[in-house]
Amino acid sequence: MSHNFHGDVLVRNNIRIIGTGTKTLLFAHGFGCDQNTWRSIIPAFQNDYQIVLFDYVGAGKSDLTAYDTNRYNSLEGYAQDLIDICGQLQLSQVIFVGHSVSSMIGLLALKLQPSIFEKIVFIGPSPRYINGPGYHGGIDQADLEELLEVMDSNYLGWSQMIAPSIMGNADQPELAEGLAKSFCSTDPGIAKEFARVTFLSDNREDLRHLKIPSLTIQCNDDFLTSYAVAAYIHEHTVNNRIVMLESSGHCPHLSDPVGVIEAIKTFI
Amino acid sequence: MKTDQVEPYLQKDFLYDELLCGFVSFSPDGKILSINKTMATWLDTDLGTLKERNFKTLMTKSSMLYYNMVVAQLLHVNQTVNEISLKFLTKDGFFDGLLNAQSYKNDQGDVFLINATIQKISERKRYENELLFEKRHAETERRKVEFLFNSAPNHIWTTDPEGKVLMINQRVKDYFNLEQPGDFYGLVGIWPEDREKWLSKWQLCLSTGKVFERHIRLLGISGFPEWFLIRAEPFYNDEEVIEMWFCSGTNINKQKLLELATQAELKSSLSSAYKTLDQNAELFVSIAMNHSHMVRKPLANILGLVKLMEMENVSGDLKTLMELLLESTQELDSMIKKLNH
Repeated sequence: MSHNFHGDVLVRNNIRIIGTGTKTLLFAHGFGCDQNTWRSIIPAFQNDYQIVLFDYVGAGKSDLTAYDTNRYNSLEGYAQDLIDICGQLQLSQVIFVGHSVSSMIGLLALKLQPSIFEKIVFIGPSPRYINGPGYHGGIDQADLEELLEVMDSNYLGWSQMIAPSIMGNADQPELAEGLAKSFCSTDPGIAKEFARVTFLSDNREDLRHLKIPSLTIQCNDDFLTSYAVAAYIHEHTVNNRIVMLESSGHCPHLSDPVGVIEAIKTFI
Repeated sequence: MKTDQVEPYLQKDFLYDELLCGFVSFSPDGKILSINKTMATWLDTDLGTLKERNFKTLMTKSSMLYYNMVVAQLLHVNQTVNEISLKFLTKDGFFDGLLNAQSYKNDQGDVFLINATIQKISERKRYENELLFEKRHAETERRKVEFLFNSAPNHIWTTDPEGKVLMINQRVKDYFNLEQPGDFYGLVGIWPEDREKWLSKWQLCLSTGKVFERHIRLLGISGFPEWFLIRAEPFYNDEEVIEMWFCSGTNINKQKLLELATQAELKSSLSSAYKTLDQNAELFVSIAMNHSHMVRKPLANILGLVKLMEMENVSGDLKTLMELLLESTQELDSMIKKLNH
């Protein structure tokens, strides 16, 4: 499918614009999430910034029919989404906040279109999840293959369990209230492919393209990334700062929104 | 049955610890609050040690990642998960387990407890793995066929038994600038002059199951019609019923145009030959007429002279000879008259 790539970006990526301000903050969710993942920290910025929220194709309320396996079989396809969004909204010199894999998606968008961002914030980033010689990404190749196998064997059950969440949010306000609901609004088939693309990506070489000021926010106890990975990014880029948070998990914007807000505000 | 013999086995403590099912209660961050003996046995670990462990550390790395990325979130949203397949670590490796879990929330909507059961499914998992292997193998084969489908230089498509176009290969998509099949029969791609003939023949094949083969002009994005050899064969399933039609189109435009040009040239040559023959025939008649006129004059003289000679009194052999001369002269006259007509 190649339709819906130009005129309907607003619909395709379920773009929402809120807040008042001349500067734009573009928030990009990570794997398995959607734009609802930002709801704890958005209020802290909406009085001073124009905030752009969106769902990647396959996540949240994006247009699932716009999912193209050829386009999204690499992170560049998702980076193109960011470029499309900024193009459609005529944005440049945006402050980008990316969670997890979106950090590298943002970096790729910057590489493709250097004027797109002014500053960039990584939350729990990783240029490569798989361990390699002289690099500790956190996951062995065998673990990754097993993870994909686990996802495969749970695919049916997962689909059945999350189907009500995808289809019935409108009449289930209690779900809308739950922050965690955002984790469950991803089409399982697409999520599986997204996981494969995410975990197989290697963007270490792309780090050298990062010349604008950047901030890495990292939890102390993160099941996917670590301080070592944040330090790697710091060492291989210019103008990067690291803020370590005491909270645990991979989603500090959910578990420690205050810490994340403070780190971002200080940086921007 | 002695009640005192059965009673100990029905005690809740016994059931909790000894039933062939793992029971684990833990907080949202994974801290184990309670775990039963069966689970400890399966994990090949001391029960006391386990109570100080984190539930997530009981799993392999991949299962832990899946739990964090998916299961934990589902427990937040749906408060229950069913039959999640995970791998649990043992001293010698791991065992496959099915996790069912229920989470409990406080008044603020935060999960404070998760009760889970784990079923050991090693044997079942082995069978499931075999099925998965077969599924992957089938998927690989499907991708190979799809690759072939799209890389073949021909137009390839399939239809249902009624002729509705189901799938089109990349060549068809590129040729017509389509993403998906267009109308029911794909008529829109056929040169208008050929549609009716094609449709009647195709419908005949659909109703009889006969192989379709015909030269047809297609109209692609070039805007010019091109000749294709269209061939469609029915695919019969195990019940000997047509399940679908496999169709192909081979571009024969160059050969066909050459063939048509040769045919036209041949037709022109034949026409020219016929014309020459006609002209020759006319000439022949004209010559014949001219010559007959030239011959008739002396012939008329001969006839007149023979008539005059008949008036003389001749007899015997001479008379017979004169009669023969007159007969021959009349025959010659009759022949020349025919030539004139």
